[in-house]
Amino acid sequence: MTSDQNEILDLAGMWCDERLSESSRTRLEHLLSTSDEALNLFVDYVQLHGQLQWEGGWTPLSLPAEAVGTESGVTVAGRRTDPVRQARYSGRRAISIAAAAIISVTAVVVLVVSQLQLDQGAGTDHAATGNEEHSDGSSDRLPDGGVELLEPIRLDSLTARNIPGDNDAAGESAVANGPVEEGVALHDDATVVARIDELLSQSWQENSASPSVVASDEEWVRRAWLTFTGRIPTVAEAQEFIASRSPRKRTELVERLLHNEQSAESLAVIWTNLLIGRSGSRGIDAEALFVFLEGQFRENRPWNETVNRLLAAEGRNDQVGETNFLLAHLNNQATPATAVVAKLFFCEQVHCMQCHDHPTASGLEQEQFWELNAFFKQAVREPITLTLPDGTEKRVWRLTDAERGGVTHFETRNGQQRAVLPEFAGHRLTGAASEDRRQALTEFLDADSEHRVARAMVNRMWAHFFGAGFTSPIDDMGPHNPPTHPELLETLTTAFVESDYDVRRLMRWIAMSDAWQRASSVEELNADLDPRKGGMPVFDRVYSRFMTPEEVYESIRVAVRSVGRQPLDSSIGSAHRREWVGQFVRSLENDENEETLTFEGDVSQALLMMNGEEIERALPLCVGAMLQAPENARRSAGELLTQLSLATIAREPSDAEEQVFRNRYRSLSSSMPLPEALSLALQDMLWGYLNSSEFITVH
Amino acid sequence: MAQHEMTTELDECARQDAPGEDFVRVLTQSQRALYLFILPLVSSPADAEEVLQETNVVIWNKWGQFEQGTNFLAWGRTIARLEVFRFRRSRYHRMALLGDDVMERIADRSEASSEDLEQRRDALSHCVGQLREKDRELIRQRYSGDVNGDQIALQLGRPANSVYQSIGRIRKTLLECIRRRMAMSAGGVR
Repeated sequence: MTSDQNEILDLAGMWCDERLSESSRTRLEHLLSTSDEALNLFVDYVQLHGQLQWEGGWTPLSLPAEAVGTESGVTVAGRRTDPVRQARYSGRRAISIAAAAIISVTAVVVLVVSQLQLDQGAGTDHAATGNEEHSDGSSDRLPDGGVELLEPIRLDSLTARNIPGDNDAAGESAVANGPVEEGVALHDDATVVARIDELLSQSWQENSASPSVVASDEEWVRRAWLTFTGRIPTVAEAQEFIASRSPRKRTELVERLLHNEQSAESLAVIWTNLLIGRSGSRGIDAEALFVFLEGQFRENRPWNETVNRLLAAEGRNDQVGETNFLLAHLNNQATPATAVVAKLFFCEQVHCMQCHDHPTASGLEQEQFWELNAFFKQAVREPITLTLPDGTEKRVWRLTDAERGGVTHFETRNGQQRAVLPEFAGHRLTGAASEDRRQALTEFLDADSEHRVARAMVNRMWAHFFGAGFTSPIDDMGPHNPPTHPELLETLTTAFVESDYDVRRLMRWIAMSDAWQRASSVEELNADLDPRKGGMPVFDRVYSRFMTPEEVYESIRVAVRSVGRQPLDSSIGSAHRREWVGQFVRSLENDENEETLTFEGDVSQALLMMNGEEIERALPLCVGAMLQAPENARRSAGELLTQLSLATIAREPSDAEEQVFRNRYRSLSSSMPLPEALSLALQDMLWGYLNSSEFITVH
Repeated sequence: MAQHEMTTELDECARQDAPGEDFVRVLTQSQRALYLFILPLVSSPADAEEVLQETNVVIWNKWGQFEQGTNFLAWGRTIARLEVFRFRRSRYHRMALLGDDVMERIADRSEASSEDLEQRRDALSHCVGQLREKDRELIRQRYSGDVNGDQIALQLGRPANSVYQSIGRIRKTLLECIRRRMAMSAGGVR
């Protein structure tokens, strides 16, 4: 800080503390008159003081006496309150959280907005953007830039979970355990599922847990679509399922979803994020890796083949997508690669073992870390500069192996020098330069009698479906962290291996289990057995989890298009989604090349809606489109509200929600024509639904 | 219920006559922004309080002139500016006055930085979290009660000057931190 700056700031400080002498005041005023910088600093500083006053609970003795007497809850002047805490939620500009920079929902919404505009052609009143004045002088929408008259609608407290019982589907068996298609080795599937059911049932008895009721169709269809494809169903998709009278409709939907290409994409997104994170390092071609993974899942290639290809990949990273994984982690003598490989493929946390033995588990020793690390010692990253046809240059990488051998040195905690050769699961290499270490690793993995790779995948997949795995955390398996259901885990692991690492079948087994048909609501008796409260999961229900940012993005797209009666359009590419999600990501610089995702449950709602402007433009458009649809011309307000709730949370509005809607409609109509009031009330409800925790959870 | 029926039902709702809950709520919600707007325009925080009070009285009495659907804060600030002007004329006639043009510039800057209050508030929250324990405690003491530096100095057994200097230093640190965070956010905008 320069001395000039210091001077003005010191003066400003004295001003705030009311300690300005006459001469200092003169000096202050001189500086303000002659220096723009001083003026700005002064204002900023003084306002900082004001902010601190408010934060500290100080309130000026200022509101007129009449105001104090109303029921608004305004306190008598002088008492320590901060009435403007309510202002936090004013308007549709929700909380902006400094930690996450300015979030732009642009990518999603602008495209949606432009699509809607295109589709509506020469719009009418309701489809207008911006503040069009109508002939009666009222504005089309509430203004930005200010405090709105009405608070946004918060629906969480009103969320009513559907408890099936009066539902027609309740009487029928939720899942038919019979064969699904002809010709496949089906009795195996049924056997596996039956075994899962048996073992879980035992577990419920042992833990005195009684399982939740069967989930309603509404709850289940949303869960299924989200779990498989990473997005909520469109209204049409949900209705199709709910209306179906087939006794095996759940089984049929599972099959459809297993083969749905969006399921392959969803898995590919999940694994791309696991393998190389979301923040994108320079030179790494995330798109190429995604394409590789998507292909593997779409063709249902065996999981161990995918793992092996990732480990032994060679070639240019723009041509051989799988090389991008290791290329991202070969820094620091491949120590991150070692840690990440162990975490992702074995669900073992080894990074600390770089420096010392595992604190609690015997058998996981420092040596083993370096023995694994040694497999990556031949891997080499070569930069290549390409000249493109248009004359620009592009930097790519080649992953290859150098012909070298020898031991890997490391130092124990007490300063001893040790040396190891590549070794895994009892198989050791000789260290000769001609050995292809990474190739050998893949062979050792396949031969692993512990089936580490299979077990890890089972744990991950189970957690994906149920919201909790057999261990917590799921990527920390080992003797120090025994699984909750060892026999079940073994069964599934063995079945997975014997099926030749068939990912689809694994998903099918889990999806068709009796437990996965159940509601996520909590029965009285089950309340303690909640993994989120540190209790052991017994899978007496599906544990709800928050959506990932990618799921949120896709689901908002679906919801908004459903409301606006637009068909689902897959042309909005993953590049936009990546950009949007990227804003929540912050890279850490640690041994595992980790990153943090500043996107957790509650926060995510606020962050999502941060760039209120874009959402504010999209809401009127899609509600406008809904109102204009010919089939809605004669529909009641209540029916329109139902369309919103179906589009977002796949159920009918609760009585309470309907009440909120009618109250809002009534309030608004006291100050504007009814059609506008209806549109605004519907927009507010749509906003409320999108912001609700029910929307953003998978349950 | 058919839309037509609902129309009839709502037509019967009475309009409000006096400043109702909604108006009071929005007035309450804008207090902080108004205060922060007024603060740099007067001679001391105590004066700002008074001007805010005068402003509120005018807003209250003129509530009927406020056009629903327009920007309340902008309207409130217009009134506040007038009250500042009136206040200065009546109070500061003995003191060297800043020229109108300077006042104008201060008002513009003040208005601009009270636009992104939420962001500043969150930046402040973050920055306070970054302070050293001791510093944070001192700021807390200074701002959580009706205490000034002298009283704190008495409590802590330190010379008043030293306490004021510490508080000033901490505020400078906070300001720097906040400005940096605001700049970062601005840079991140699409």
